[in-house]
Amino acid sequence: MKSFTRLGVGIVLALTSALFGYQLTSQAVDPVITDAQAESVRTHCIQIQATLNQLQQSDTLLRYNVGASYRTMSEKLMVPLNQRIAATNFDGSALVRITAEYNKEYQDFYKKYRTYNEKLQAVMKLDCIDEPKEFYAALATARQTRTDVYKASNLLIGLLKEYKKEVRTFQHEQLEGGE
Amino acid sequence: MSEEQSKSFAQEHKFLVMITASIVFAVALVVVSMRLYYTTGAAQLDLSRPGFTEIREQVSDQEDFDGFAATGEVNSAELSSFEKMYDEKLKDIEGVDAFAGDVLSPKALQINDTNNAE
Repeated sequence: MKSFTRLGVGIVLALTSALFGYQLTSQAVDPVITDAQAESVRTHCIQIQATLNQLQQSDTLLRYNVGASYRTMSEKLMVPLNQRIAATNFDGSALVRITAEYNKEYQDFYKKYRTYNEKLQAVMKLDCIDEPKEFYAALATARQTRTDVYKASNLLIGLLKEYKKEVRTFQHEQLEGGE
Repeated sequence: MSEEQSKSFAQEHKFLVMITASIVFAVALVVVSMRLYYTTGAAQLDLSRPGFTEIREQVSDQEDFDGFAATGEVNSAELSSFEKMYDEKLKDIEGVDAFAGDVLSPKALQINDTNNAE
């Protein structure tokens, strides 16, 4: 029964990673650590902590820059176009719907990043020499939350592409009189 | 008796009481503001924190981009202009591939299961 459950989880993970084009090199981390891995955590403790610290800094910058770009798309491009269309007799409801969904997903992306950052900080606070098992388990959680941020980011890009497609449809159907 | 003593103490040390009350009030406000700073997520985006000085200069500035005007005509020429701006920004976003890569995997962090490897 357990093997069926594990198989099911494995299939779901494989499908999810394939769907988002995300390659999990070693699949979901089993939070249960082996003695060899615990020893490896202890041995590479300082190196791992330095890597995590560097990752936190680079991800903070990435979040800042990417977040600004995402907001720019909405605030300086999508919303102004929607407003301009709303002032005419054209039907821009599809564009408004996508923009609303995009803004909602942006909030979700923001929340997921916060969760990821909190989990990463939780890992960094742990002593990987004295608590390798707890460290490894916390690392697995942080890893999963980072994947969630990646998925949320991809979802936003998908909506941006959908909006672009809808602008072309709008242009074709309402301005050029196409069917 | 003790009430009289305390009254007289407060009356005699009005300045000290005022300073102490001001400090307590200021500390309370700082605690509230720091709590808000962390709970709203502002702390996680604040690059002015210690340790982020080096990466602060790498922040991309979006302020220069004026965007698409909210007023004006809706015609093919205007939409083409919009699409040009939109495509440029979308291309930048797609080029980043944010948060990709399994950088927290045991393999990436060199946490090896040596028993399995052997």
